[in-house]
Amino acid sequence: MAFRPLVWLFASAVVVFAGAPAVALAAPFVYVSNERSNNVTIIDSATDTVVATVPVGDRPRGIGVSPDGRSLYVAIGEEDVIAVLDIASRKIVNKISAGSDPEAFAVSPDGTRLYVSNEDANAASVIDVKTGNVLASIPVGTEPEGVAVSPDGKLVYVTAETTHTVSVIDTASLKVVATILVGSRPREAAFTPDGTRAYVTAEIGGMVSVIDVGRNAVTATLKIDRTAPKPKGVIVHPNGKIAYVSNGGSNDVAVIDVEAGQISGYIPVGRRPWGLGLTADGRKLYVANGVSDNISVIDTESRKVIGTIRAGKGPWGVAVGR
Amino acid sequence: MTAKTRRAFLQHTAIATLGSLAERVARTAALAGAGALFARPARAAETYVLGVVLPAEAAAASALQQGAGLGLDDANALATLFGKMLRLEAASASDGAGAAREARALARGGALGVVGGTGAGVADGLRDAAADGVLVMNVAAPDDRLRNDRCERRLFHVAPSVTMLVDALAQWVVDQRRFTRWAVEGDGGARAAEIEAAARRALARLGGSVVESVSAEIRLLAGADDAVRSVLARARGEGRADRVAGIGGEVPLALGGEEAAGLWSMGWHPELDRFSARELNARFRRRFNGPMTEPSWAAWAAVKLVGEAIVRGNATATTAVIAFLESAPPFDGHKGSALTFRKWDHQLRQPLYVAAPRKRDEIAGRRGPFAVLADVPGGDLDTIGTTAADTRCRFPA
Repeated sequence: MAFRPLVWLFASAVVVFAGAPAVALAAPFVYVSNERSNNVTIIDSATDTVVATVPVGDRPRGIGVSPDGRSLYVAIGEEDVIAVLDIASRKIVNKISAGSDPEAFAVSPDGTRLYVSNEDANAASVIDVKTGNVLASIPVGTEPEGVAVSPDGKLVYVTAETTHTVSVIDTASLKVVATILVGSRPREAAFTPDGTRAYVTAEIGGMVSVIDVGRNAVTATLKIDRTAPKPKGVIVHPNGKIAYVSNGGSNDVAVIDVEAGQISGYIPVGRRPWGLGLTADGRKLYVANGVSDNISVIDTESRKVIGTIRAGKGPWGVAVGR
Repeated sequence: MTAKTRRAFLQHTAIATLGSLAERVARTAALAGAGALFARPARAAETYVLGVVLPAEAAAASALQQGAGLGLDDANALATLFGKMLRLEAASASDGAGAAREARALARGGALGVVGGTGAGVADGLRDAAADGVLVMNVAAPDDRLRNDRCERRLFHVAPSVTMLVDALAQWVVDQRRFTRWAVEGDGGARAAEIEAAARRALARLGGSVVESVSAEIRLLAGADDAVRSVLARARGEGRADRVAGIGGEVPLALGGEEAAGLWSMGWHPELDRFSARELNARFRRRFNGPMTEPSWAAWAAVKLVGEAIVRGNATATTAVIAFLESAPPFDGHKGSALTFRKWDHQLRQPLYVAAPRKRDEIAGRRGPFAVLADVPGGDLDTIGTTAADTRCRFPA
């Protein structure tokens, strides 16, 4: 994920606000896909209150914001599409065909492509955002799941749950250039802001694999020291010093000290936490609790939950606006 | 197995293997710019062989070979990424002596181990082969004695035991239905004796007991299949379909909608949805146009486990596969938990499922007569099955 200067973010928000007076835009908004109520909850991060709920389609899961902050993408698994929501008007403006059963995806840093995992097809689709054309369907491991793009946009990681692998895709050639064996049932991947390392959660393995991106090699394995933790989501703080892992089984968030290479603590949240989203300044972490139907808001400085927000049914993914 | 059947099985699995392999080799070839690789996929990989001992009975053999076939697909989806490959070699046996003979022959021929356990006496025969040094993955026989007095270091049980199935059923029934007085209706056979012993143990732990039929709240059926079907029909006719129970999925999943009755514990169900069970069931159905049954799941798991031993454990010989399995690698059986083999009897820890009949108007399409009510246990997997303290199994040091 690319992190942009705060000044740019504010400028972007103002421009959007000026062009769309019907919806008051202020602080960055947080978007949560609700798998079982088929909608997206929109939260104002300034007040941590719900400002809107928007129906999006049947079984929304993966969710992400375009780099220009104008579009929200939501993977609609039962419809085989990525829904495009115009952030200013909060309306669905397009549905892009995304191959069979899209679950998770990532947006390229330049905003021109979506990289989508197609679980049923054991492939990753590369989609041109502007035309909606599928540029390539790339075979990866069995039951692909998590997708992450390196900050420079040159690599895409796709985890595969049944082969326990990460397929490394070169975005120039659209070929798999390496396959990395990680823990059992890998779910998500996240790069550090400098792109040198990546973290991959393994739900059944109960661990996080640390990958040296340059060497395509696992350099460390961090065991989640909880009973049946089932780690799922992972996100790296903009300062590159901390990573967070949601543990769907032990109902907490693990805090990883990147430099020390160890877990420095756990923050209890709601039931079955999966999706994670950080504000651009890194001060707030939003956690989707899929069974409690709510969102935990964590103050990253104090490492405490400072709020709990009601979501729809089965909150799954979190994306934070620009 | 006739030569024709054997050839068909090998052809069947080979086609599947080549299908997935071709895709991966094509990718490798494209990366390396070496199109010639596509024409010679098998030579590019280190190849390992795993035996499958099939029963004589066609339907049971089919369930086993289909599960093993999908397991091979999944094992090779991983192995071929790392220049390795697994191949299945099949044999057929109609009794214990034949199973032991075939298993030993497969091992002498270079197989890392054998998968089997379906058919009369077959599991005991395979156990004898294990005593002679053959690695055996039991994918069907629930007998407690194979995990106790007749346990073997080289015998690993992917199929759940009688004690696990009874424990799961008892935990759910006592917790959800509050039935604590159980009658066990058996036929005097060895299986019935194991079921009754397991029921007495389970109920004693849960505050219940085994009683005479006249005062029982629920009857646990432990007889032969024909007798069980007869009792089910009677219970259904009397409107007491939830006052009978049994273990294993074979009987209930073969019943039609008009016949469905009883509460059943089982190791797998073709309608399981959570924890990516939906994806596994869907892949099986797409491949074989039928439901994934308990032995199919267990055969799939056994083959995939050996495949992971080859890649994760870098196992190249039987002893290394055994060492890998004993190291308790967290196996993903699409059951939502890390499945590992117990040290004391080599039984795979796993959640089981309790199913009950659907209402007649809810049965449609792929929604069969039985619906899964719960996976059991909700927490510690060692609350079902023989514990380290209870086991009579003693492996040599």
